[in-house]
Amino acid sequence: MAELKPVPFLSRRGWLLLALALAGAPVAHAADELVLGVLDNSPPMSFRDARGEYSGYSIDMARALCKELGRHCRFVSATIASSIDDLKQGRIDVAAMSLLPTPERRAQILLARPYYTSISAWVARPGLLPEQTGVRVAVVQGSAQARFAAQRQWQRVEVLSNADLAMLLRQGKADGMLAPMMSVIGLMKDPNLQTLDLSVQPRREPELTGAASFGITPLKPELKTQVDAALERLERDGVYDRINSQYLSIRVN
Amino acid sequence: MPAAHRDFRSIWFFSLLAGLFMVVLSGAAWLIDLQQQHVQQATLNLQQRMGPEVLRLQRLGRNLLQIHHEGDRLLLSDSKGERREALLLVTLVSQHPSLQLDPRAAQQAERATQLLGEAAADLARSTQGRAAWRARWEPLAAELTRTADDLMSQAAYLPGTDLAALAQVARQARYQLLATMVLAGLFSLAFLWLLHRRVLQPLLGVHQALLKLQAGQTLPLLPRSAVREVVVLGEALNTLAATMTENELVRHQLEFQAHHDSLTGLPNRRHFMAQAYELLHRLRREHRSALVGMADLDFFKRVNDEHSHAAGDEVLRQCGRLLREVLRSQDLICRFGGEEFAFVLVGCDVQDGRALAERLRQNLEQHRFIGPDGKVLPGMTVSIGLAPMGVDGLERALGEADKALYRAKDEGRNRVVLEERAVAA
Repeated sequence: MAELKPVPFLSRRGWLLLALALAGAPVAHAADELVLGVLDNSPPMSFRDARGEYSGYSIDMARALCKELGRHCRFVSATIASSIDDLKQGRIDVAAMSLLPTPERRAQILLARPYYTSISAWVARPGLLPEQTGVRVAVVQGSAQARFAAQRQWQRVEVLSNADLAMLLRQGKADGMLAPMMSVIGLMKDPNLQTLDLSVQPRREPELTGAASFGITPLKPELKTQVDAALERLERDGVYDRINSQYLSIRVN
Repeated sequence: MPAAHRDFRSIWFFSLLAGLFMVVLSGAAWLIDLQQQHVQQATLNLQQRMGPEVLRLQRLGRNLLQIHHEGDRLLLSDSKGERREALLLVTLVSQHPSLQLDPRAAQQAERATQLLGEAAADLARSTQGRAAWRARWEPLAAELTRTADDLMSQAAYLPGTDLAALAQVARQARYQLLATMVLAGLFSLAFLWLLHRRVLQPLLGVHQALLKLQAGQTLPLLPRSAVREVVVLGEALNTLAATMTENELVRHQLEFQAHHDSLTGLPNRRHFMAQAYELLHRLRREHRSALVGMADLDFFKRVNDEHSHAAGDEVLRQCGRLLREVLRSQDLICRFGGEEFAFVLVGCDVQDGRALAERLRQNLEQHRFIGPDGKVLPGMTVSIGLAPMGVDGLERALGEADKALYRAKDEGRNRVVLEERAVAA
């Protein structure tokens, strides 16, 4: 008859594996983290509030997305100009900013399910058009508006954020700005800008209009599927509209 | 059992039925599956297309109301900045692609933008015309509200079409399920009916035939059946009946051969004795008289010697026939041995018996015997001894008849001699 030997609760190897698993937990947590690149000077879409916290339409959408995904997110400051390279290099997982689907972006990064429909506007003194010779057009570097202006061979003054556009106009370094309408609404609340008595003209060119999306790193193609599904759930659950109402009285989807 | 019609093995027959049943059920299942797919499609449509469409219409309606609201704000506000902001929002909404998709809304928004733009420019110069601008604005604002209401209602009723389609599919599915169940019931009934008609009923017929089966009798007509197993059973039953009849015939033949003389066809001595015992016993009970006789052909040996044994056999055969012709049906007769015959005359007294025996003797004497070769044989005579059947039994009576026969021989043959006691009586 075989002798039954006492079995320890955990063998030496078991204790070792348990210890390794416990030690690996923070590592796993770190691996679960998403790094989101956000703009910090483009109200009302994405900006830092008085306490220095990220805020805005795109920021709240990004936070809702992280919650829906069940992932811990870390926001890092980014610009539209740098976002493509950041995504390609994997420095950020998601560019939580409104990106129109330009051919260059389609070719280099993944674009998530659109979260709002963007249009662009030309802001300048009444009667002044960007097509006119000698008109200096302020645009954000790397933006769809900058790309459009370049294609039209307009004289451009490029800055890194939408807030800087207003500064250029105030300082007389640009004659007008071509920017997303949502940003224009935010910028036009600036009293200094209001004194310039500028007119706002929406632009209907297809390159300046369309569905805006978050950018996703091409290094994690599976992330797009997860993000798209989460965004769809958020829209179905009414989160889109709640965030919309928080920052704008009109619906932009 | 008639085998002219075609029959099938029941396994093929019922397999075919089951196969047909399966095909029909599979078809029904396929239809139900198809409808389930429709349900899934309609549900998916509701989820993926209808949801976003409802949202789009609601948002569009809300944006129109917002234009209304911003227009009111622009015309009521004394702040130039607020009027500019209101105009900016109206401009943004009216140019937004979502609104441009709806021509009616786009046209109203365009008109609103134009009117409010002119009003903002005018109010920037002077607010005196505010009331006039409001009067112009109100009808357009009312239009915007109506359009918004229409869009909201459209959004509310939009899923109705898909839900109605879903309900229709569910209704159809219910009907098809019912039809499938009815069909299954009909198939079961058909199966049971066929089982009863084609198997059980023929089997009962076979059972009835078995109960009536007797040797020598015609088998009752078995019911027709298309089931091979039942047909084979019926055929086996027919074979059995034929075999039984044949066996009975053979038994009769064997029995006849055991009881009769093969040459004359008359009962043999053993059978005669058994019949005679029984008969005499009955006659004694009934107090009826009988005579026992022994007859012997005279000089029969000469026929064998002078002609042939075949001629002798022929003479014996013809003697047997003559005996049968003369004696009555109730009388017993047998070939007792060689050229000797024995008989019992039932219900005869001495006088009647003697007359009957005499007629026999005369018939034989007058008969022309023809040999097997067709030639006429010499005439034959017979000597007959008679004795009444007394209380001493058959053996005794036969012995006395035999004695009387010897006396007839001694007295010159070709005569009938009655036993002495009978003569004395």
